This record gives sequence, structure tokens and C-alpha cells, in this order.
Amino acid sequence: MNVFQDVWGYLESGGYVMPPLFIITVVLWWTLGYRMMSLQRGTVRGTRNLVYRYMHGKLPSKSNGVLVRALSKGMALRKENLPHLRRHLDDAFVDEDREIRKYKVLITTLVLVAPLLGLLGTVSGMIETFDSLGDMSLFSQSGGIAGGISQALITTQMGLAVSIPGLIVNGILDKKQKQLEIDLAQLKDFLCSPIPGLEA
Amino acid sequence: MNTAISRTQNIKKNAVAFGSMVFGTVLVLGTLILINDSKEHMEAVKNGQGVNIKIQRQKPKAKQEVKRVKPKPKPKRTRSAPPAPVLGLNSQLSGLDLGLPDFSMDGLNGLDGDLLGSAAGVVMTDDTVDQAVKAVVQTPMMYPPRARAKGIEGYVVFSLLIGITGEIEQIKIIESHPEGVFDEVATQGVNAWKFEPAQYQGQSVKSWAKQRIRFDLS
Repeated sequence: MNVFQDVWGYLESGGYVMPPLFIITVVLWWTLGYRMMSLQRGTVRGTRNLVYRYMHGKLPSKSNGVLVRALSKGMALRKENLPHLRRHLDDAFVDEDREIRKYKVLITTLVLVAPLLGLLGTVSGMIETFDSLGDMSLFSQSGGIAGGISQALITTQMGLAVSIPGLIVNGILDKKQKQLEIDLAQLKDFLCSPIPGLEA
Repeated sequence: MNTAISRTQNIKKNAVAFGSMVFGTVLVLGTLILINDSKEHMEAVKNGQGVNIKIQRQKPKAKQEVKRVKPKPKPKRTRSAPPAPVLGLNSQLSGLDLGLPDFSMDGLNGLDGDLLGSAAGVVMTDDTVDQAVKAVVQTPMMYPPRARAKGIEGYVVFSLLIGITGEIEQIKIIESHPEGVFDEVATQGVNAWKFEPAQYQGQSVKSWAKQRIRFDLS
């Protein structure tokens, strides 16, 4: 309970920017988790290797990564011998593309907004400080000078504490997404060209 | 089949996202508490776990008293009273002839108007004058026969200092291409030219002017 009281105390002393910051934390980490899940490849192997393993039926059937899903879709399309296979593949891969891009902008926005909110809290804390300096009410009910300064510092701290881990994880996820995009493009190329050993 | 997989997958995804949400919130708030946990420090100080530093003041040693011999007071100078002003100095000086020329303030009156406005003796450039230098008479020049034979074309850029009456006071070659081929001919030619001086606020002024002379074989 002590921890909760501490947290509540910080949230109270931070003023009105603390609830938004808290909401940002919750939403940010929810989206990060979601994105982490949706960016799973499903296999550690490269595209070419993946196709060969599919041909030999060695693919893990339970795996649900992006690449495995895309591959099974693509192979199914390929078997139909459609003209303009690439267009069909583009169409089929749209879902995957959308899935791996989901929440990206939201995460970036949240990570950027958090320090700004902290800054806003700092400014309002400083305003309170100077107000109480002007009134000569050094220890008023609302906190006075000490309250203002503590609000100023706590909000900045909270903003940064929300933003920094989010930024790091976001960076990792972005890199994963780029790799996946490249892999998907590669897979498309691979499926559109004749695969030795499959058609024979 | 496919939808079923995606549904379980979605559930899994959301579950992980929820876990991540809890983890992240705990992480952030935990960081906040860890950073700000000043209570333990305060208690540590209260319990005396901190390092106590006692500062003992050393008593200052008794000062050795040194008796100083008081210097003898300097004998005060008695100031003699200033001599009484001579009355009627004015009248005495007025009769003296110091041999100095008369000084009148008349010459200073015109100062305010002309100090900045007068451009006499000021050397200006094309940019600062109101009306730039104009070449009035441009005598044609001889094309150097050697250059003509070789088919060389080129140009010379001069900087000319044109005096108030329009005469050329200085000639400088700023640029010439090809170097040294046309310089002499062009300098002689320009010397024979006549210019109209630059104008500044209705007066002729000395000014630098740029003149480019091209040698073409056409």
C-alpha cells in the first residue's frame, strides 16, 4: 500500500498534467506490446530458406509470424497459376503490411508528446512558484514555492520517464518493421520468379 | 480455419499488449519512485547513519601585542592665504596687444550644414554617387597586330579615378584576359578618352569608376 500512496502522492503533486501523462503511459505500453506481437517474423530464417523449407514441408505449422503467414498465402496464390501474380500478391500482402505498420504513428506521437506535457507542467509549476513569491505566501495551501518547484520537477521527470523507455523500444520495433518490409518485398520477388525444383 | 487462427492470435496479441501495458506502467512509475525516493535518505540521516562531521574551532591564539611607536605627527603646514585677486585685471589686459589675429565665430556657423553634405575632396565609387562617371569621348583603339595575327580576343577591366573636372587621375588594371596582351594598348587608349565626372547631390565629385574594354575580332 505504501507504494500506491507514494505513486498517488507524486500524481497529486504533479498537478493537472499528471493524469494525461499516466494515460499516455498506459496507452503507449499497450500499443508497444501490440506492436511487438504483430512484428513477429514467425521464423528466424531468411526468405529463400523459408521457401525451400515450405517446399519440403518443414515449416512449423503453429508458427503465426508475419512471414510464415505471407508465405502460405503467396504459395496458395502461386498454385492457382494466375496471370499477373505480383498484383495478386500485392493484394494479399496488404493485410500484413497494414498489420506491421499499425500504431506506429501513434507511438511516435505519444513518445514525442510526453516530454512536452512534462514541460507544460514545469511551466505551470514555475508560474505557481512566482505567483506565491509575488503574494509573499511562501507556504500556502496549494503548496507555495516548494509546491510549485516540486510540481515543476516532478512533471519533467515523469515526462522523460515515460518517453525514454518508449523511445528505445520504439526504435527496436521500427528496425524490426523495416526488416520485415524488406523481407516481404523479397518474398514477393521470389514468388514471382520461377522457383527451381517446385514446378518441375 | 483461417479466421479461427486469427481470432486466437488476436486474443494472444491483446493479452501480450495488456501485459506490456502493466509492465510499462510499473516500469515508469517504479522509475519515478526510485528516482525520487528521498524518504530513505531522510531516515538514514535521522538514524544517524550518515557521516557526522564535527567542526571544532580552534581558539585563536592570543595576539602578540606589538607596541608601535607612534610616528611623530607631521608638522602641519601652514597655508598661506591666497593672494587677493587683483581688481581691474580686465581693464588692464584690454590694453595689451598680444599680436594674435582676430578670432571670430563666424566661420563655425556654416559648419552644421556642410559637414556631412559636402563632398569636396571625397573619393566615391560607382555605388555611392548619384550619377556615375560617363565616358563622353571614346576614341577607337588599335588592335594589337600580333594578337590579331594569332586571332586572340580578350578584355581588360580598368578601375579609373576620375577627378572633378573629368580628368583621369589614376588608372588601375583590375583584370585582363589573356594577361598582358591588351594591357598597354588599352591603357593608352583609355588615357585618350574623356569623361564626365560623377555627380553627387548636384556637385561633381571625385570617384572611382570601372571600365571594361573588349577586344573582339569581328
